[in-house]
Amino acid sequence: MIPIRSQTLLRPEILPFGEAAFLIDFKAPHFDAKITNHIHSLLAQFRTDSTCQDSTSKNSVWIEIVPGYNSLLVTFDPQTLDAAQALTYIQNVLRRPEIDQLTGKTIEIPVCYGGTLGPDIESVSKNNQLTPQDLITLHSENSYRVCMMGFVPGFTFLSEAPKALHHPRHPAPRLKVPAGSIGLAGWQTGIYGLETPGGWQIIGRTPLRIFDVTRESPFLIHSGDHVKFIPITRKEFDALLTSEAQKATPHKPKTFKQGRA
Amino acid sequence: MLEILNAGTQSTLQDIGRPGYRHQGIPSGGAADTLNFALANWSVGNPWNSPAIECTMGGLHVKFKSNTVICICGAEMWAQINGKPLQMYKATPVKNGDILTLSYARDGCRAYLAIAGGLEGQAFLGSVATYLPAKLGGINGCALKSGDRLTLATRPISAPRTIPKGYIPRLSRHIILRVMAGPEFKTLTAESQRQLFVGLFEATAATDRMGTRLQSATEKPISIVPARPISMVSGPLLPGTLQTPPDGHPILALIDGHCTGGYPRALQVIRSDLWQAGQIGPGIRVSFRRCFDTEAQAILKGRNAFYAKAYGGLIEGFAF
Repeated sequence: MIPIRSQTLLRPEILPFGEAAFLIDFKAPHFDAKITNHIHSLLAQFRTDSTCQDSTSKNSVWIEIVPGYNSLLVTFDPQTLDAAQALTYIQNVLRRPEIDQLTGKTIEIPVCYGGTLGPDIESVSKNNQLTPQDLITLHSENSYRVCMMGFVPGFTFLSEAPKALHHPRHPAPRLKVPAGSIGLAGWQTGIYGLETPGGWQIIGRTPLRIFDVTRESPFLIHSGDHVKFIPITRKEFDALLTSEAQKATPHKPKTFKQGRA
Repeated sequence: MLEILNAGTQSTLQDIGRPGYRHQGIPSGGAADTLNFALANWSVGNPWNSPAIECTMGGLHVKFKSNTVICICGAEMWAQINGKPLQMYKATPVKNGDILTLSYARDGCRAYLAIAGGLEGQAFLGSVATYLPAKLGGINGCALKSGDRLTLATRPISAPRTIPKGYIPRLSRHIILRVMAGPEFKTLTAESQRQLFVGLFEATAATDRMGTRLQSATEKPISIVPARPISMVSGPLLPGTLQTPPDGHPILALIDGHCTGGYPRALQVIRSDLWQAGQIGPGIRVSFRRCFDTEAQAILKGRNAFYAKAYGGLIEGFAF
C-alpha cells in the first residue's frame, strides 16, 4: 500500500490487483460526486497521457482502464512493463491537476414508466409514500452522470438517485430482467443493457438499445456521459421499438484474420 | 469443413478474446484454459491464438468433411476416431468422413480441439470468442449445436509439431491456485483469512465460464466473512478475482466473469495459474496458496521461459 498525494484533496491508495494490475482506490463507502469527477478525469488522463506510452510503439501501456464508483483499475502486460515501472506511471498521472472540463455527451433516454414495462413502480411509490406520477417526475427531472459501465455489456451505473427514490432491492433476484429496463437499488439507479438476472426494482423501460452488436458503434453510452430520462407513452415506446429494430442489421460473418500475437 | 453431430454439455468457438473493453462491461473472454488451447494450436501448426473448439465436460461428436490434422489438449475425455482411441497432445491426421467422439471429462473440465488452419467464426471487436451472455462471436453468439458446420479458416503456418516430453500440463481433480491478497483481503476476519489458505473448497453446480461458487469440500463448513459489516460500492473485477458475498460462500470469477462487482475482493489468482482455474468444473476441489507480488513475478518469468518462445520457451507469441 502506497499512499499517494495527488493535486486534489483526494488521496487514493494504490493497491496491487494481481501482478499485472493496480487499483487506485478512493476508499469511500458511498457515492461521492467529487470522487466520480476525479475518477473520470483520471480515466481521460490515463488514456491519453504521453508519459503512459510505450517509447517505441507510442501505444498506451494500459490494456484495460476500468472505472468503478470509487476506484479505477489499470492493467498492463507484465512482459513489457514491470510493476515498479507501472507504479511510476500511475504516480505521474496522479500528480497532475484534475481536468476541469470533462467531455461527456448528454444522452436523452426515452422511458415508458410503469405498467408491464415497469412492474415495480406501484410498490416502490407506495413504500416511499409517493404517487407513481411523483416518482416519474422525480426520476426524470434529474440529470445523471454515467459513473461506470458493467457488470455486463450495456449495464449503465448512474450517479445517486433523488433521496425520495431510495429503495432496497428485491430480496431474491428475478431470473430475467429485459434489456432496456430502468431500475432502482438502494441509492442507485441504472439501465439494464442486456437481458440478465437482476434484483433491482424495475420502474420503466427504454426502447433504445444501449448495447447492440449489429450497430456500427455498438455502445450508446460511455462512462462520463450524462443521461436524462424523457418520459414517453406506451404508444411512443412501441413506435420507437419498431424503428430501433429496423436500424439493426443482421450479423455479417467475418473471416478470422491471423496473427494478432 | 466439419459438422457438429452432438455438441455435448457445452461446446463453444474460442480464441484469445477481446481485451480492452472491460470499461464497457465486456470481458476479454476467450479460451478458459489458455495453456492447453495454445498447445493444441501449436501442435497442429497454427498460430497459438487461432480459433478452436472448447468442449466443456464432454460429449462432443464431430464429423470431418475434409482431410485435415487435429489435436486435442486439456481434460481427458477418452477421445476416439471412428471408435478407435485417439492420443491426446498429439497432432493426428483425419480423413473426410471420420467421426471424432469425446466422452465425459475425467480430470479437469475443458478440452480444446484445434484443427490445422483454425476455424472461422463471426468476429466482434477483433475476436471470434463466444461470449454467451451478450451473444458475441462464435456462430450467431451461441454455443455450438448439432448440425452446425464450421469452415476451416486459413492455412497453418507450420507442419504438425510434436509437443516435447515435459510440456504436457498435469491436470487433477484438486486444483491448487496461487493467489495474491485482493484489495479487501484485510477487511476479513483473521479466521476467514486463515481459512482461505488452509480450507479445502469444492466447486458447486453453479459453475460456468463466468465463475464458480465454492463451498467447503469437507463436513466442516467454511464461511468467509468480513470482520465488521462493510459498505461497498461496485468496483472492477478481473478473471481470477475471489469475491466474498455475505452468505460466506466465495465466488471465483473466471474468464467470462463480470467486469465489476460489489462484494469484498479477497484474493486474486496469479497469471501463471489462471489457465488452471479454467479447468474448474462442478465437483473439482480447489485450494488457495498465498503468494507475494515479487514471488508472483518470478513464477511468471519462469513459466514464460518454459512455454513462451520470446523468453526461450516453446510457443511463438504465447505468454501467460
